[in-house]
Amino acid sequence: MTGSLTETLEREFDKERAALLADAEALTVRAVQGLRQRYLGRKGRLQAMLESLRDLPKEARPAVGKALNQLRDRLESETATLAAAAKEAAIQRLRETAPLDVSLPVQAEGQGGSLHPVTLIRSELLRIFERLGFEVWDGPEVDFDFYNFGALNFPDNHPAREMQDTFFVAPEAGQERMLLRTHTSNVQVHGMLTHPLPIRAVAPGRVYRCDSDPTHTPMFHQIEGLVVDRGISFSHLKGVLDVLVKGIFGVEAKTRFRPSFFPFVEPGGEVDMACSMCRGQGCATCKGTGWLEIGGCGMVHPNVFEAVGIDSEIYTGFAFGFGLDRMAMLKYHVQDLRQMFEGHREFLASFPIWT
Amino acid sequence: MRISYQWLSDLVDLSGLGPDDVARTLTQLGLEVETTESVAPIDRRIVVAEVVQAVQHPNADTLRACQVRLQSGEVLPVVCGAPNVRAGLRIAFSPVGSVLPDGTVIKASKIRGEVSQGMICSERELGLSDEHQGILELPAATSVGQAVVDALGLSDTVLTLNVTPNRGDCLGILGVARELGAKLQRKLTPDVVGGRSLGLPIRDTSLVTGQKISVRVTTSLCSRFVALYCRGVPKGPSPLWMQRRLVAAGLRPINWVVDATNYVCIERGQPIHAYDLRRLGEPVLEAREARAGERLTTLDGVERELIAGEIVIANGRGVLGLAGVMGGQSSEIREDTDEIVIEAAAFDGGQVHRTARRLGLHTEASHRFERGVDPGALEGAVWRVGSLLQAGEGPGPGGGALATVQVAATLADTCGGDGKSLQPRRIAVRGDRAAEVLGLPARTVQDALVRLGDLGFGKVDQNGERWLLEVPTWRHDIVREIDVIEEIGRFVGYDKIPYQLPPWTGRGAGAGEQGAAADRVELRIESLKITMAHSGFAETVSFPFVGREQLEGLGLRPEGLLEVLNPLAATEPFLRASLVPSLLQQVAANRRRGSLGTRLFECGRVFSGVWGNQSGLHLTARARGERRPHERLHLGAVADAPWRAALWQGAEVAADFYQMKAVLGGLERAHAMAALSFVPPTQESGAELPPYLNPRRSAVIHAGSQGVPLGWVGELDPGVADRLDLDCEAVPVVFEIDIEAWTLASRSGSASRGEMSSHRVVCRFPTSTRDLAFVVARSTPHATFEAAIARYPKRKHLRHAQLFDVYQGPHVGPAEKSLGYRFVFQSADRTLQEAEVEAELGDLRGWIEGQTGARLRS
Repeated sequence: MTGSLTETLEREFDKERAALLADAEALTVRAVQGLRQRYLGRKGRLQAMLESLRDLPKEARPAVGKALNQLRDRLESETATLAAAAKEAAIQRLRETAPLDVSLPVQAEGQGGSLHPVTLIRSELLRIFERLGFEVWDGPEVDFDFYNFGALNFPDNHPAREMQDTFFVAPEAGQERMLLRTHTSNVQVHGMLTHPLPIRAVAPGRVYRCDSDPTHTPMFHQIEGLVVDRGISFSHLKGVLDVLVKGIFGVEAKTRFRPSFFPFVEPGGEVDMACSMCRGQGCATCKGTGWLEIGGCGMVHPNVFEAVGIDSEIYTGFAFGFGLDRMAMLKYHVQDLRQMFEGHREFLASFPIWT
Repeated sequence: MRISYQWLSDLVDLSGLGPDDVARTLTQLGLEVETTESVAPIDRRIVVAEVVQAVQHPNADTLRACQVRLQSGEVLPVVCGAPNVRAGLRIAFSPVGSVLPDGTVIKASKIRGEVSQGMICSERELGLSDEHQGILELPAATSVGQAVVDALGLSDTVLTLNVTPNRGDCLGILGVARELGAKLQRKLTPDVVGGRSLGLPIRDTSLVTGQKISVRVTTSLCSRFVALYCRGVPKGPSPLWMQRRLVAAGLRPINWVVDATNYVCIERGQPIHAYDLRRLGEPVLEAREARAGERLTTLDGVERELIAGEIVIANGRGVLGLAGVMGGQSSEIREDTDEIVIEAAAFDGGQVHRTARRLGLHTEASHRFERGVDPGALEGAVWRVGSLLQAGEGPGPGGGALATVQVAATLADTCGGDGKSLQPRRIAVRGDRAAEVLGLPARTVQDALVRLGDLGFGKVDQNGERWLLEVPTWRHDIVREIDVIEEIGRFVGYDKIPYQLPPWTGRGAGAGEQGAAADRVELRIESLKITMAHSGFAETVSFPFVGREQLEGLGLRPEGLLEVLNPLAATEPFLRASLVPSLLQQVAANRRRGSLGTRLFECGRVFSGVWGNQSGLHLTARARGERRPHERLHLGAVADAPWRAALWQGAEVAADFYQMKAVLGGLERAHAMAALSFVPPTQESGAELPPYLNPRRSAVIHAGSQGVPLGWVGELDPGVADRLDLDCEAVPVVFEIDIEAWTLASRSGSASRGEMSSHRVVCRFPTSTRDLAFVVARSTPHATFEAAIARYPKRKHLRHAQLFDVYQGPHVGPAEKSLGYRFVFQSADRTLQEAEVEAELGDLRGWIEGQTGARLRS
């Protein structure tokens, strides 16, 4: 009985083997694996037959066992040969395949993602400031007058407050009026009130002014910088800002400083950069002057130090504020400020993820 | 502030310096020149030409037929009616196509049969004077072809200065001239600086009338008040040269007296008001504080009610003017005015500012008072008006044409007529401190301190490095030592200060607790943004202002939002509490442009009117102790359908809940953030979700083992999508999470992935894999199985389990589904035996069936 069963099994195996050998398409590594599994696997037919040995009379077992072992050896050897042939065939097939059209378009997973130009310039700036040992500070966008104006030496009823058109925010019933910060300088006040000296910090963020025309939006971005220590001078301010501008616009970039007025700095100034479009020759971007205004700066006003409890005789410091949107426009050649806030897909997709 | 280059050069010697040189110098001084614009009061096409022939017109007695030679040699026929036209004369020729100052365009014509190709101009036609008896005769040496405006020296350049609010003294041309003179070492024109010795002897006692005027100040909000009485003032329009200068400065000429006061205001920065004495009622002026309810009709014809404490000029007849803002109509200068009182005063800037703001009246006067006028220059200013009113006074062509008027004058001054009672401020300045703050050599600072005299600073005393200086009365911005240090820096020039990097004495970045925290948040946010971009989302930025209509379109209400009191658009007075509305708006805008599949994200603050102590990571410890409104950093994203467009490789892939969930999972893994869990809304209504989401296809997001609520993710309600002109069949998917809460949960969460495993061992032994499929009620979520497997008490070698199949269909019951799990077993110290794996698998299967009510799929 067992003899005929082994013969049947062997015959069926040979039939399958022949079918695989006859059909080049069917002879695959996977098909040979399947064949082996079915006949020689843990739950395969041969295993079942070996297990059925137990049901045979004791004296019949050695002969049948021997036959089964011989069969197994043969099937193992045959499948190994088949597997080798299948591999050889597969290698041949792929080697002889028709060449691909490598020009066909493809899409990466997540194609079309980009970072906003303000984020890109912000990252570039923060990388430079990090190397200079600056911390990154943050602060609230809705804040009290004290942080945005009062402690920054803006007197009440003074036109200096009108340099920045302020959005006012309805307060909690009976409480002090709040506002949307008009500059990131409020972070200076928050930081100086709590941070141990010395200070070297920058604070990027969104700011708000009640203003809207082709070159002004009611919300835009600034980065604030603050250094407070003993012996800090205006020449240090110039040094740091020059490194910054060269870091962003290249070593050939030039800076110019000229006096200006911001209530929280004295001496106060504005920083210009030699126009990156015309290299200082004068063009439409710089209105023919050869220079582009990129930010305000100056030595921290002693009144500010006094408002936050820092001894202005012992400590000096400098502060500066740059418009990130404008810097991004210059660096990435954006023509229209308003485009930055419209979410136009083609516009956004024109920026990379890393610069 | 618009400044005429010509006017400026009257006040300071600018020889050898063009408008561009002046502009550059002023910008370096902190008086930024925004634009320089050439102005020519006469069309430059009107040129100097020569009359080569002038004969009697054949058909008209009073006309002459002339031949005019141009620079090119071309000779043109021109008919002219002037008696003084003659051969050899250099004249102003207005060719065909040129435009006269009054707007007349010259055309070719035939006058009584004679062709005329242009016009020979009189002074009046050129806007130079009222002279029109004959044509303008130019000197014989004038070169033919030159523009007449240049030949007459009338071309000018207007510099527009951005005068910062601290420099009220530079709101007059004299102040600007003073700065230039000091920087360039040029002299100011003495007559102008000398105050009352202004060329004309109007202080001659013989001219002083018997008219007494009396001035009085009864408020501390006016530090000085000066008035000059004048009789016999000129009437009608002011001379053309004066009008031209006022126009260059951006003012509109009105009449002789008003123009003269405006002229001096522009020249010296001192607002001046003139009253018609007869309309004053009595020759008395008093500066006092208004009483509540007093009324005044101002020059613009508006009747205004005053608030107690506002400064007014008044006398027995009532209120005459709103001090420092606008005069009153009752005593306005009219056609017949002959006797006037000219007032110059120093009013309190803060009060003028409040009044001007309250009334929305921003005038040339209020602008200057707010920034501070020079109380020491009042007397000079009123005398200057008096001298201008003397006929013929003034530079430029056309002067001297007016009939002489004798002005008689009397001065009244609350400071005794000489201003000596004004006390200039004194400031001590340390030269070494200045050198230290500016980073300049001591020698440079010493030299600059000496040169401050040119700016009007008086040296009172010097003791080594310590200088005691007297501040000029016009410099309200100089109140302490640092202000003088800025003056030194300004005059040395910021460009002379060296570039240096500061020494660093700190303990390194992140020394402060706040700094360290913020540094980490900043880095995390930057990398979260990068991961979002890699997931195919474009970062956008939008304004935070929202309106009721926009909110209601999404089923939201503005109640509880923070409100802006002075919104730019009245329709958008609220600050957003969610990033999604503007993201949807931008996606819809892209759809309108024909762009499908837009994926946008924004990282920005949201706000609400929930007040109290806030825990935001952007706040310092001190600010956390204050009562503030809710303000948090959110990350929001929208993916419009389709997720992927059809390509040659395959069909379109829809955007759905699971795509967006995968994006969030990517963020979690890439940044080792606290694990997210996605929870369906517990109520059928989906009340925990925003109303614009489809509650059947959305989830609330929790973070970490504490289940901190972060936000939600889901598909847009199809009705809302339709209202927004989005696709209601293939709706966009959105998520919004509180980044600060997630960051906090990642830091403290005990069972979060944010906690890096302290040791990671790579296992060298093989794994065994077994698959089991369970049949369970459709309503049972995968989470039930996940939880059961996680809690399996006899776990020995099970490494992990993964769902690989979800099936609903004919092979299971109608209310059932099949979930296929793949279990992976592995031992850390040996290869597992078949029997061990089978034993654990069998036990696990029983546990899962018991915990979930599922049965093994046969």
